[in-house]
Order: sequence, then C-alpha cells, then structure tokens
Amino acid sequence: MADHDRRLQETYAQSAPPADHPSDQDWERLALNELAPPERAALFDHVTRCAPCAALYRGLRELEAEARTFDPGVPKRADVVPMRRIAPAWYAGLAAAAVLLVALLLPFHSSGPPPNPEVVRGTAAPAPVPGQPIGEVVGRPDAFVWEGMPGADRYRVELHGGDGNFAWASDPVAGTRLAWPESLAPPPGVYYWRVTALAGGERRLPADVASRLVLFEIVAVPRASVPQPR
Amino acid sequence: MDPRVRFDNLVRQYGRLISAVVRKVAGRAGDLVREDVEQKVLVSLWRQIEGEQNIEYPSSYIYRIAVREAVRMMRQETARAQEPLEDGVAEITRDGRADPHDSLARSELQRDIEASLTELTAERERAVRAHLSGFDVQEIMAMYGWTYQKARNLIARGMADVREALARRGVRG
Repeated sequence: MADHDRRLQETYAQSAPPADHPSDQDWERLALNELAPPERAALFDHVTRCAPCAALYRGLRELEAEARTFDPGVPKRADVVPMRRIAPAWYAGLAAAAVLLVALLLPFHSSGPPPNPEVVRGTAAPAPVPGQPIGEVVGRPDAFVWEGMPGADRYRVELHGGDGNFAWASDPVAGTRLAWPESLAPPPGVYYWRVTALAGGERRLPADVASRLVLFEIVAVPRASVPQPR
Repeated sequence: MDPRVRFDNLVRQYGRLISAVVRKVAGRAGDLVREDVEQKVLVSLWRQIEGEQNIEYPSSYIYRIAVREAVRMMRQETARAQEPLEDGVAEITRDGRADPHDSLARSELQRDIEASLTELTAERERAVRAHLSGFDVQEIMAMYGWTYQKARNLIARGMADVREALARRGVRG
C-alpha cells in the first residue's frame, strides 16, 4: 500500500502544471495574510496541482519561519488551526462514572495558555525532538521519550488536551526519558505534548528552547486484550 | 543600536535568507544558481526600498519587500534551472528516463489519477491533491483551516476512494 501510494505521489508530482499560476501579488498577499478565505483556498487549489508553485509555497513558508527568528515585523499567520475538540459524544454513557472521571481528570481542566502556534509549527533552529508517544497509542503510554539538544541538561515535559488547554507539566528532569506519571490517567482522546530544554544548568543554555508540539491519540484498550480476573 | 544600523542588518539578514531559500527551491539544479545571488538580492532589496515613497517604515514593510523579492528570485532561478543546457540533451536531462514505455505508462497513470480525483467530493479532492503533492497533515490543516481530525479523515477516505477508483481502471498496488 505504501509503495503504491508513493508511486501515485511520484507520478502526480510529474503531471504537467496548469498554466494560470498565481501572480507575484497573490503570493505577496498570501504571505502578508491579506487574502480573503476563498482567494486563499483558490491559491492552494492551484498549489496542489502545480509542482513548481508547491515548491515556491514551501520556500515562502521557510522564509517566513526563519524571518520570524530575527524580524519582529513578520505578521502573524492566518492559518492557525483550531485544535480538535474532544467530541461531546465521547462522554455519553459515562454518567455513572462521572464523579470518578472528574477526579481523575482534574489536572486536565486547569486552564492555561493555549499552545503557541509558532511552537506547533516548529522552527529550523536546534531544539529537542519529541519521540514517544506519537500517533495512535493503545492505552496509557509508558513514557515520554525525546532527543535532547546540545547544551541542555534539564528538560520539562508539558501535556495539553485535545482542545489545546494546558493539562500538566513535569518538574525539571535530567536525561531524555520520563516515565508516564501514575497520577496521570487521561481518557481516550487526542493530546499534544512537547518538551522544553531549560535554560541554565551546568551547560549554561542561554534560554528555554521548546520543541514542536506532537500529537498523539490514546485509544481504549480492546476488551479482548484486557486480562480478565479468574 | 542605531535604527539605521539595525535596518541595514535586517536587510542583510534577509539577503542571506532569501538566497538560501532560492538555492533550495531551485532543487537538483541548485548548483546552477549563480553564486552572486545574495548580492543580487541585496541590491534589489535596496533598490525597492529606496524607490518607495513611504519613509516611515511600518513594521512589516521589510518583510513585504523580502517576500516580493523572494518570489521573483524563486521564479527566475527555477525557470533558469529548467533551461536546456545543450540542444539534444534537454529531453534526457529533463525526463531522466530513456525508455518511452515508461513515459507512456506514466502518462496513462497520470490520466487515471486525474480521472479518479474528479470522482471525489470537493473536500476529499483537495485533501488528496495536497497529500499527493507531498504536504503533510499539519501543512494541509494550515492550508485549508481544517482540524487535525478532519484533515486526516479526508486524506484517508479520499485516498481509499482513489485506490478503489484506480483499481476499477485496472491500476492496483
């Protein structure tokens, strides 16, 4: 399947591009967040049909990401995407366990700042790299694992709910692995986490450096695989 | 720091950044991008800045000029990269395949993919085209303002539809 899809991607990328490319002004307005949503969508509809324009768009994104590191005049992006909310339907049928659930979830309802969208996208600058958990996870993950960055010897892990709200943060830890805390019992759903290399320490990192946010989804353990008491 | 010096530094930083991005976008022909591209970017940035009537630079002004210059340079250098080096060599270097059967098979598959895409709903078609263009889920979310779940579902279901449509046309993985 993966090979088939790769072949489709390679073939699609070699298709003849359409003729009506966006004008220089269109690109400029896109970069400056001046396009109305329908114009923006129309431009992306072209980008996804035209390999040279897709390359140009990627170049502009790279320009923006890098420019943001030294020019405070770079405008905020228009494409900040809302985090997925946990579907209310998920809670249906759990009324009986509501009290227990609330107790377990208390840490997840503390309102903190939503994830910084700049961090969601990440930057090209050195930063720690989240490893696990990522993608779909059956049951509670075992641990947070990441790749460290030069100059850092202490890290802090942050967990955010699927709605983007801050849920939990670890104390500073040495090393690049943190066992999942026993006290943390999140229900199935989408979550985001990131790891921040902390300033100071013996290696004297000059400032905190946060990784990009990584999404993972906890899915319920299938009933058949749960050991039954005899 | 003197505002003028800071302004000069900003322009120089943009000069280096734009030339790096242009070289990268030029792709496999990056070696063909001229070495003086950074100097060229700098001169062009200054020319545009000096030509403006507005002397009270808004904060995003330099960024706007940098984007304009980057787009112009990326178009110019990618076009240059596609120019044939010598007569007669162009078709081989562009295509990279000598076997006409491969070209024919590719054209037929491209036609089948396009036909399969037209069978999708509008949103699935957008998601699949973006996926086939090599954009990842996060990028597709940003392009169309979709949530992660929506983007992922549209890609997964759209790709399933495309595979099915291709299989009906005799194209199987």
